[in-house]
Amino acid sequence: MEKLLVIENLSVEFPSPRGPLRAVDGVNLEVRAGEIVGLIGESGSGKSTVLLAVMGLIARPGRILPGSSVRLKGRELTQLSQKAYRAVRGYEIGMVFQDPMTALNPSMPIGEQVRESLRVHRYCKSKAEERERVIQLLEAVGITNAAQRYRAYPHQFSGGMLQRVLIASALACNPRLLLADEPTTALDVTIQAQILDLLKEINRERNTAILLVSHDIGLAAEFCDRIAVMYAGRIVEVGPAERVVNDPQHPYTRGLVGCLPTWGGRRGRLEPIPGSLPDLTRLPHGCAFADRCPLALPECRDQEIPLIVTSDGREVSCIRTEEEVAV
Amino acid sequence: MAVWRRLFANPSAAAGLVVILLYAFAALFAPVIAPYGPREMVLANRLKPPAFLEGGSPSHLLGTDHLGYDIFSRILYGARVSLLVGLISVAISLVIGTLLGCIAGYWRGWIDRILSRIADLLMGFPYLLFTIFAMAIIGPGFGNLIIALCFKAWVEFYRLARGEMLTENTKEYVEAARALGRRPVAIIVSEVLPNIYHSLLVLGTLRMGYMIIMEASLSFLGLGIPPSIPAWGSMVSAGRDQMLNAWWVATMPGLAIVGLVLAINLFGEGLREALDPRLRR
Repeated sequence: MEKLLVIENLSVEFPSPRGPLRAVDGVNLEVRAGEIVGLIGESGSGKSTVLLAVMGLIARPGRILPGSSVRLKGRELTQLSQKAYRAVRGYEIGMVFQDPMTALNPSMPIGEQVRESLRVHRYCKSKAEERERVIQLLEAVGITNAAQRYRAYPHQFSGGMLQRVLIASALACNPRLLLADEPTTALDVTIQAQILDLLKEINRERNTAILLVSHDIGLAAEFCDRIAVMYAGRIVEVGPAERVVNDPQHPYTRGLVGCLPTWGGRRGRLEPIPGSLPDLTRLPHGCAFADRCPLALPECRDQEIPLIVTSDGREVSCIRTEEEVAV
Repeated sequence: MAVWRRLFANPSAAAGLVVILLYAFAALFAPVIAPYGPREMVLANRLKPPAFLEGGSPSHLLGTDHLGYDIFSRILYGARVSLLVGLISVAISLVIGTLLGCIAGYWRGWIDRILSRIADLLMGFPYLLFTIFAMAIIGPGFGNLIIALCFKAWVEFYRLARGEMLTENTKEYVEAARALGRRPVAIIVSEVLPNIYHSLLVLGTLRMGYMIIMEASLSFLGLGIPPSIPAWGSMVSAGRDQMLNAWWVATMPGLAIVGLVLAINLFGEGLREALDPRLRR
């Protein structure tokens, strides 16, 4: 499959009183056309920062370090001017946010907000055409009576409906890539499933690739083709969703999967991962997970951990991978 | 509109608006309503008491001053000065303050640091002292008065607009607008301003009363409007010496100031309650 988005050696730093904070540290990730990739990690692991970096929206004083590369259809984005980047945002890459209640402007009718995306990129020739497309989009994301609701304000909608509006707005210019930053975290569980179904349908019907950020590996397992697990700004494991969840290789992924409740209480208690994220201003040279890892060896802390490709085509950043496979 | 309905449901705000409209009407139609011209003096009729006092006559409703000017007529003309100074100075400082506040709040960084330090510096001076100083340097006159008032008045609007912009900037809809590829100017003007203009409008209304007091104070001190134009402040000042034998000369324009500023403040407070959902009863 064609490579749509290629992230290479992406590092993002924010200054902090205790020195530069490395939120993202040398991340490599690919999204192929029409694929759904999940970026999984706990709070502070840098997963949302990766999305913002792709959008070119890292706010000063944060910065993308030199040597980082983000390419969309082969075009380097990190070197783009602000003006050129604005033409990419919303046109080639759409973005869906976490909290639909705050992600829509409270003083603008929802139809106008969707039309905004079309207007910014001059997607349609006339106002009437824009209006027509907005109504089509709203109907496509499951808002009934879209024509009547065009002038409705966000406070007249429920969270799930607002998320649909946001998705419509992100899809307005028919981008090839959709970035979704925890799109269902703020919603009820039943609505979550509906929104995920909608995203899946969009993926299938429009062949839009989706890069989904989530802290929920269970959700990602069901929804994604591939999963990348992030820890302390680094990717520790990438592979097909089903393989990563059913046979996690990295101890951290195993920890995440161990935190999932299962039917029947087969395992009795859930297994929490001991400890918390390391200090991002003093990232260790070796494995960032070593302090919390039950399998850690002295070597884990000393050397840079390479990504090891396993027999089933996964990449795992753990020196104990091979022997664990053997066990 | 819902805001207007809530505004009129509030009796003090409605009364305030009616009084403001009366003043505006008086100012606009002063030449028609006033029985005498603003510079029409009859020395023979000096210090006539108001019509409702002993010795007063209906031809001089609120009496005359020591030069024989009709106080009622001059109050009507004086309303023009007060309303114009209030409106223009608030409009100018509102626009400047909002513009700079939005810029500082959106981009932050060095421009915010510079503007905020200037604002802090200006806030450090007492307002009246500052404008007295400014007027002493640039001299009296209508335009100079507006300049002197606005020189410091924009700071209030700047701080409010900047604070609101900082708050809105952290909300996801602004980030979402950026993610759509909107330009910063478009985000400020069409996304954020519609969400923050209420509080700026309320501040503007409340500051207008203050501006009118400032103008009157400066005119009272002889630093504001030239004496040739009737202004309430200078009328109060002129009546100072007659306070014991002709109290109405200073009191009547003083009451005019109180009435207008009170009405503006009542209206402003009502507007705030009508616009702010947290204050709704």
